[in-house]
Amino acid sequence: MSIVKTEDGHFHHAHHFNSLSHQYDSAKQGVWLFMVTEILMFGGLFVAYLIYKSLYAPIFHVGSSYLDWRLGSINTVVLITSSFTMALGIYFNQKNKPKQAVIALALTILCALAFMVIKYFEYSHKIHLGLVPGKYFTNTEFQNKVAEYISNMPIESLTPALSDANLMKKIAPLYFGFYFVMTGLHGLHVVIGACLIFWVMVKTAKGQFGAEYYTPVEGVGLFWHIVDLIWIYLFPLLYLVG
Amino acid sequence: MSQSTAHVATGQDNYLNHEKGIWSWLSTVDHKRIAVMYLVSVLTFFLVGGIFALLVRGALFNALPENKIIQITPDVYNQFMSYHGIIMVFMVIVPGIPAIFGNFLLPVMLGAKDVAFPRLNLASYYVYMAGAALAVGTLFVGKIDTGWTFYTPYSIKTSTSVVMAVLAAFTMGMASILTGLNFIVTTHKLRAPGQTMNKIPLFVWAIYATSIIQILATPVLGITLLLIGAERALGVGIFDPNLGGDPVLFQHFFWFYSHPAVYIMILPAMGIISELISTFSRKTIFGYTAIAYSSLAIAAVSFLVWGHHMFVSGQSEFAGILFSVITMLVGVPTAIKLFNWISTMYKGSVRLDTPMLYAIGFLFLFTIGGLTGVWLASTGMDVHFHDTYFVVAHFHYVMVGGVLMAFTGGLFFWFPKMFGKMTNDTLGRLSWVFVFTGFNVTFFPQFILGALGMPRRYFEYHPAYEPLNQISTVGSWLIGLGFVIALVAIIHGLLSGEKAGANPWGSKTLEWQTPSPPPHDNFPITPTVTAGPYEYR
Amino acid sequence: MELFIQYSLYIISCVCIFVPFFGFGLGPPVIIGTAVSVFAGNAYALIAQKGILKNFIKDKKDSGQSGGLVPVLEEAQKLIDGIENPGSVMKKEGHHGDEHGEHHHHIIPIPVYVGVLLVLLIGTVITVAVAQVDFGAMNTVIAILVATIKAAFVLAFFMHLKYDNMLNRVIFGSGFFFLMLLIAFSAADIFTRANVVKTF
Repeated sequence: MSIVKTEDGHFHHAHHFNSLSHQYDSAKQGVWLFMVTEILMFGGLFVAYLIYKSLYAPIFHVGSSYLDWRLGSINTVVLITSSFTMALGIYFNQKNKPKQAVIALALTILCALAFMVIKYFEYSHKIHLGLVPGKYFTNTEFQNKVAEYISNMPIESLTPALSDANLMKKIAPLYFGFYFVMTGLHGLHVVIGACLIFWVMVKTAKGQFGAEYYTPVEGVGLFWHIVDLIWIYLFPLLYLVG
Repeated sequence: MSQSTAHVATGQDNYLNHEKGIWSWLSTVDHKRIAVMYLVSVLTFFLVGGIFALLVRGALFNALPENKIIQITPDVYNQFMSYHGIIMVFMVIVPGIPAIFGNFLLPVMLGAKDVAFPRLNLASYYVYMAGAALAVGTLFVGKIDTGWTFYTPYSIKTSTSVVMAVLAAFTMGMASILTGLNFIVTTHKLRAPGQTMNKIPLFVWAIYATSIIQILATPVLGITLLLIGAERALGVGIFDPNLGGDPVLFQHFFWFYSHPAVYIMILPAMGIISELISTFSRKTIFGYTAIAYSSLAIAAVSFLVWGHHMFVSGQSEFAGILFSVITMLVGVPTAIKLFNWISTMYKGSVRLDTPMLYAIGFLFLFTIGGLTGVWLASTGMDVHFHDTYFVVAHFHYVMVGGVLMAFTGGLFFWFPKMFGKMTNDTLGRLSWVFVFTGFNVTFFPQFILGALGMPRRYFEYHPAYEPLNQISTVGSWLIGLGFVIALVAIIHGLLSGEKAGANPWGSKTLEWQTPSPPPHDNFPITPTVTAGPYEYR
Repeated sequence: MELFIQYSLYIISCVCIFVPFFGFGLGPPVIIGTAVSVFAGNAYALIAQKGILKNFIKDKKDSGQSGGLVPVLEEAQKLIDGIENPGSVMKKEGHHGDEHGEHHHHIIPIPVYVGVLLVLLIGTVITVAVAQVDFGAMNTVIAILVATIKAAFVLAFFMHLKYDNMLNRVIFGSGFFFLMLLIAFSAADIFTRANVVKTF
């Protein structure tokens, strides 16, 4: 909704709405509906993850030991901070303080970049070790560790699938399939979010928002918080539980 | 009914001539123009999908490959069958009624000037066209032979252009989400003063329930399609049994969307039927609240029944029982609606114009389709019927006999409103005769074929099934003829139909209180609603 | 409609919380039962209970004992008026009259944001710390629990849901609810087929 400020500095709402607040409420509702779709999309991935985790727990246990929980924790802190700065970006727009808003939004983008940089290191490390999804997987050490872990488990707790060592070695790369797809899709959303925040930051800098009208900032903020929310769940499930 | 406080304008300055030139159409944010663009696209894709249907039936005219009148390989047959499904499901029926009639009528029925997010509406159209382009593009790149259901592991192993096809479906799903989002916010926020949720037409209720399903179900299809892509490109192993995956999990994810999807298809059709029956019986719809809440109930329960597509897939017995019982439940709100429609006609002043013929055809055909669905819901019977022509007949009865009849009826009904001209009633009735007869000739034998055990998606089949297949193929030509006549009626109406007034059918809903075609802003002054939408007396 | 939206959120949250605990065998029937009975109950309330509500309002008004019930009675009266005689009442869901008004959007003060940030950071520390100790299967449960609390804070404050209207909360809740449905039913199939490892 590009709403142009008129010469007298006021914003005019679109003609099919009754007022700016009518438009604001509607826009917000629309963004929330879209967020529901994002949750359900990532949720599907979480469902598949949880199911396979219960079926093949040793693979996921050993696999998560290959993830550096310190880098993951830093990324978590980075994203939470970026959520904070995003909220500040909205706050300063609400208070008609575009300069501070731009700073807050810029900080948010910086956090996003930091996240992607750390992610780049994680990915390149894994690719280097051959810990990649199925087709290209080449790390036999991981497969051996899985077999070793299973051999240390009490016999009664083994299902038929788990007791088949060769099968377990063959399907071990499943863990990294999940890792790359889940964090990859999330990373894509971080990049998209960063671009959206940049767009909104530029518009703030140009003075196109104010206390009466800051809806795009709020909408982008909601998207960014969802991205953070997804990571809040991804981090423990991938990095810590194992 | 609703008091529009302005005098009726002459209909000279309307949305069609508001601005001229092709760019004004391509860059429009007017929901009515977007609806017309969708109409052209959907009808075109319907034609293409219909041609594939004729090819499928033509290929099935003879049982053994050496006798086939069209000499093709089984792979090519799989492609015909897949494209027929993909085009009809993703490009015609799922978008069809919401994108065309929902876009055109929702704001007008609510007394609004446009949908909540007009530019998003235009974006939806372009996203839809991009997806359609990708889907049609697969025809030239690698073709699809997996069926529209993309079942693993075949879809992972086949050398056809599956990745492009799943991207196409993903993109069209995106368009579907954006449209649904738009409609929900429009229904919540842009109703006319005095128009509570209990005063909106049942078509709006139907579109509202449909949009809720679209928002909740389509994302899961999205992730499923992305996962197929990841599986093919990276060998992730989530659905491939060789790599530890579970193909049945794919089916769970796929049908979590695709079952609600069929309700996305049928709910708007039922909304149209409510409008047609009350208008052409000149009577208040019987049980407005029941029909409205049934729409919501169908939307909700539709999410709980997807496993009935998977009774023989290897899913557990427990799950089978669960899904079977709940599926029986979903027939209840549907039956409520059906009885309410019939009760509306009772002691009404029924006029059998073309739209009403289609509506009555719907009642008959959809009932058969729905009832056979209940038979399929019973696990014991489904073990025999699964993947036979019984299922094919069932879903064609509900989708063609249901949705397409309602679509065509709606098209004839709202044609005067959309274009300001009347269609030729004789041509319309003639099209109905061919469509209705042809449909039954095509698909009723398929119930028998399925009960006799003929499997679906088979290119070569036992010669004992041949006679019924031949009857079915002849029927397909009749349907084709019927829809061609309908198209001729539409085009004839566009070119030389007699001028239509604001309310040629004498209906009571808001869209008939504004000139035909409507002006750019829909209403000269925003109407105030003081009465219900169907108060004929 | 308003009744439905008001109550559905509470029911949705209860179901979401209980699904993991009751196990997937019990969950789906509970969910179905809840969904169906919610719809049925609210439809019934709206259609059939109108008369009882009217009598209640009349009684209370007559008896002069209303007191704290006054706002409730007014709301109830509006609801009935809205159903029976809609022209007379502006329903609150359509903000149709504010030609000039902006209602003031609630602005959350910065100290609250800082507080939430601290809570989230502490939550992260807790999550990492707990993960170092082996609680067996409970590790996952605790991790998800802490994550959910953090998520609740992000939703309530950063995303404004605490100060937003009920509909947005219902919209979000319903997304979550349907996700639970997908988990529950898929798991109901898979776990009644495959043997699940006890070390979750």
